[in-house]
Amino acid sequence: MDVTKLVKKAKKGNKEALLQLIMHQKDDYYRLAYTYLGNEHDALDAMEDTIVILYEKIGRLKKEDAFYSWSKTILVNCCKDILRKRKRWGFVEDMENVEKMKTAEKSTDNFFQQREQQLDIQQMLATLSEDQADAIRLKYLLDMDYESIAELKSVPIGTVKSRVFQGLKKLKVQMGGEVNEKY
Amino acid sequence: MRNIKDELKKTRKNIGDLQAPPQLEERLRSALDQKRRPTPFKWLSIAASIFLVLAVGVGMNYNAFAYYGKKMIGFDDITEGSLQEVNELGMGQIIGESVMLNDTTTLVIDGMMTDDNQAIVYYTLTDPTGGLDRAFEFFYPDKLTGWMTNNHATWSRGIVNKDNTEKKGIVSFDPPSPFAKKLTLHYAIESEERITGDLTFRYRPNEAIQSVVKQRINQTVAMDKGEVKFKSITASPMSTTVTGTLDVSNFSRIPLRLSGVKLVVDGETIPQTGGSERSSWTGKTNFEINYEGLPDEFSSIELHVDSFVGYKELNQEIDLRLVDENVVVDVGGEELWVEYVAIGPEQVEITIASEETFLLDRVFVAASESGERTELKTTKGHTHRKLEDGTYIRVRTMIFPTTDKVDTLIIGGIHYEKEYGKVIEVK
Repeated sequence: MDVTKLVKKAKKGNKEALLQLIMHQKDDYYRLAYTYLGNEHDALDAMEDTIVILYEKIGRLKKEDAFYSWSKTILVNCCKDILRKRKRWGFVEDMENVEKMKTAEKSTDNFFQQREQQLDIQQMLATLSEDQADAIRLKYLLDMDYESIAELKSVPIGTVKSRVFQGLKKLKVQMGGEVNEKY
Repeated sequence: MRNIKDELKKTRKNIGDLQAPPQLEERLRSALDQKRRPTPFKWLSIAASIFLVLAVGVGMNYNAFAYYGKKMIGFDDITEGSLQEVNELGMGQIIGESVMLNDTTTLVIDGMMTDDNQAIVYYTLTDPTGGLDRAFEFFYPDKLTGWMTNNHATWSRGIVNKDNTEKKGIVSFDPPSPFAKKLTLHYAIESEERITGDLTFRYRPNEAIQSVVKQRINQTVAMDKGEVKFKSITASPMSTTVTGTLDVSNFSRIPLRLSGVKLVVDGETIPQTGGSERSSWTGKTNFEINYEGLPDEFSSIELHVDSFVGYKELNQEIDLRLVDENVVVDVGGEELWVEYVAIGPEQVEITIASEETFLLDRVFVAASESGERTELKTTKGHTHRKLEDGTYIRVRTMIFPTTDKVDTLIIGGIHYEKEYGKVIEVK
């Protein structure tokens, strides 16, 4: 697939070209959104918001080959918008999740355990600073390398490394583990 | 004791197994379908030209070239065609207002180039410390305001030099009111957080570039699935805009839009630079097609509707037992390959490949044994494949919700790029 050509078309307002660009990496986008939001419903909403913003702003994208990192940055921002809205609404729901987590620890059902582990991580990430949580999500949950994260977040690699390190340190303290790893 | 990295790994595995749900494509497509690009407020530019004729009192022989003379320097890399030519001739107005954006970065509005179709603001960002990297890549001038003027940016373009010390940019708006003597450029900087600001400058509406043509067309062309009405043409040496309405039911079925409408002046085709459509409350779609600017003198203007979306009625039956990926099926003059037929427990999937220029309509599968017909439910997995000769074909899978032993594919018709070859004489 010729990304540059499609981006040029999309810049001229070709919706189909934009859609193709997204569909080409649809699982990547979806996983990214899911990592932030934790459910299919919100992840699809975030992707809808994203494609509309991309359509409106793609004319301003200067380097065609930067399309993927640029569009993922926008997706991350859309996810955060949804999280912010959810924060306003979601206090009751959050408490329910904590209850569920407690019961799930005793449950032997493997499926539920997996689901709840995921919740557990999300819950723990919520205690970090936004930048640290982002860095951990992208590095450990989406398996991205430091360079790609730096590009996506528009910060130097050193900053990403330090956020990952500080984030892990905090998480380890929470889990009661040792902090002895070197970077 | 649990180890945090193990926990993260487990979660990663769960996430790595995730796949985008099948309804994603449809959701994204319908989100996009509701979106139209904004088009200009026409009454403003009409008012502008009436005012110019009344207040300045100049006719078609008004010589804009002698009036100005200064060129905006350093924008050749981001402009081309007419825009570069009018700048070369010094037809813009120099502004030179500036503001500090932070301790080291300065924004300068170098000038403006205005005609009845658009107003382009030329700006420069400078930072002697070389800090114009990613942070200011996301510098967006997004609104132009003033007396009777409140216009959002329609497009923009910019380039940062190698040392990250200078960015040259242009941004286009609908033209401001002819009564506006002061304009304010609003901008946003999107980096870690969003910062907004503005800069006000003096504007001289009488220095806008004069139109060489501004007239009604009011001619209608019949298409297979409706009609297109061309309403007006407004042209200056800087740009040309043709407006109209269209009421064509299959307009958006193939990605052709209005690119097949050519502007021909004295026998020469003027390059198309863009266009937009917006549906109006009447149910019709308003459109605008943009071309490069026109010379001062010419004797004829024609619009050639070379190609536009067409529809061909087919009702063609294809025997699925006889086709495979090596057999080219002729579908109303277009070529199609059936790559794969999968009869599953709940549905039948047929993967086809074709060139990009057409779309099948009213597609069914049928089983000759039972005589049952099943209509196409959805298509999935649109991908592009490059052939050995460098051309691209589009591959997609059609899904039919049936458990019958189907053996026939029925195609009711196709939407395709049709050569209409109609000519409208404007002047």
